Amino acid sequence: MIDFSNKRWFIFMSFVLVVSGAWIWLSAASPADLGTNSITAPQKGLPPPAFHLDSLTGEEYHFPSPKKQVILINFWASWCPPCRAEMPAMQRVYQKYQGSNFEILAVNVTNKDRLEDAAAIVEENGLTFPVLLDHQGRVSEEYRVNSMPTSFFIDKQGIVQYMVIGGPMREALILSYLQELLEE
Amino acid sequence: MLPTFELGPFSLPVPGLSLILAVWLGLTASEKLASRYSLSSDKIYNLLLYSLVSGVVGARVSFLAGSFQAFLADPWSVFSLSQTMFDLPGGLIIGSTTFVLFVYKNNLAISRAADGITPFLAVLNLGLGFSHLAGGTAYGAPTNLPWGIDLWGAVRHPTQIYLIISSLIILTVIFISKPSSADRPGKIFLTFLSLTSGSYLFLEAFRGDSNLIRFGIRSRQIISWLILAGSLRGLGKLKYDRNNTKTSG
Repeated sequence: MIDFSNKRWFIFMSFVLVVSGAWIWLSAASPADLGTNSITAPQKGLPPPAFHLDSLTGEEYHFPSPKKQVILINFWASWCPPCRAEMPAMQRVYQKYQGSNFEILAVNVTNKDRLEDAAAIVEENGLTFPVLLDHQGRVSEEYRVNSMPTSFFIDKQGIVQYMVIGGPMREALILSYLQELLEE
Repeated sequence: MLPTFELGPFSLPVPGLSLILAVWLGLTASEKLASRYSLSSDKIYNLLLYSLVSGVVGARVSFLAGSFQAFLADPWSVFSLSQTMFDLPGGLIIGSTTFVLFVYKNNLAISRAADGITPFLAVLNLGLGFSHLAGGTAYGAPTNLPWGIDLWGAVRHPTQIYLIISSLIILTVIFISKPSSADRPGKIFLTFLSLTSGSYLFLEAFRGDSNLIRFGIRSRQIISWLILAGSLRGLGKLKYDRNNTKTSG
C-alpha cells in the first residue's frame, strides 16, 4: 500500500530539487559577470592593483611585469618584529628558487619607517631580493595593509591566490604555497 | 570590514577570533541543549572537544602531507601557530572519523549524537558569516542594487550579510525545534543540513568568488545540491519510519 504522507514528501522533495537545479542553471556565470577579469583588488581570486616603485638600490620596478611569474609581495617595516623574523626565511626561499619563475617584492612601508633602519635590516640579513620603497604609503593603502607583515602570493596569471596577514611566515609555508603555484 | 584589531602591540585577526568565539558559544549551546536530544551534556561536550582537537591536528597533518618537501626544510614549523598552515578537507575527514569512533566507543546512537552537535554547527555557521564579514572574504558579485556595498574595487552584493541573516534564521529554527517523543533521532541534524545546503545553494548565485566549472556552473552549488538531496531523502526516510511505527503501534 502506498504511504500517502511519504508520497507527499517525495513530491515535495522532487519539487525542491528541480527548482534548485533550475536555480543552479539560471545563476551560471562567466568570469566577466564576476568581475574577476576587470576589477583589481588585493583579495583572493582577483588581480591585485598595479604599482611602480623605486628600490633601495635605485632601480624602478613595475608590477605587474610582462613576465609570467609567481610573485610574493610582502609589506614590511623595520620596527615590526614579525617582519624582521620572516626575512631570513624569505631570503632562503629566494636563493633556492633563483632562476625559476619566482620573484619577491618586499615593499617597505617607508612613510611609517626610517630609510636607514630599513637599509640596516636589509644589510643585516643579506637580502638580495628587491626591496621597494613606498615613500607616500599609496601602495600599502591600495593593498589595504592594516597590519604588518602582510603578504600576497600571486600566481602566473596575475591573480592573488593566498594572503597571509600577520607573521612571521615560516619557510615551510612559503615553500608550500610557492611549490603549488609554480606547478600550476 | 575589520580584518585586524590593534590591541597595543598586538594585531588580533578578527576573522579568526569570530570563529573561536563561535566555537565557544557553539560548545556551550550544544552542552545546554543536550538533554533535549536525550544526551548527557558531558558526553556531547567531550564528543565535540575530541572531534575539534583531532580535526585541528588532522588539518595540520594533512597540510604537512601535502607539502612534505617544504616541511623537510623547516621541520619545526609543524608546531607553528600560523593559522594558514591547515588543510580544511583533511581536518574535516579526521574530525568526522573521531566523531564516529567516539560515538561507537560510548555506545551512542549516531543519529542522536548528530542531533546533539547541531546547535554547535548552527552557531559555527553564524560565526563563519561574521568571520567573512570581518575579513571581506566570500565577497559578492558586482551589482547595481541599492543595498550593494563598496568592497574590493566594486559595489558588490553584501553576501556576508546574506549569510549572517540566513544563518540566524536557521539558528532560530534549530533552537525553537524541540523534538517530540514520536520524532526519530537525526531529524534536527537533517533539518539543519537541508536548510543550510539550501541557503548556500541559493546565496552562491550572488557570490563573486565562485569557482566556475562547465557552462559557468558554480561548483559549490553542485555540492550543496547533492547535500540537499541527501538530507531531504534522509528526512523522508525518518518520516516514513515514524509513520510505520505509528501504524504498527
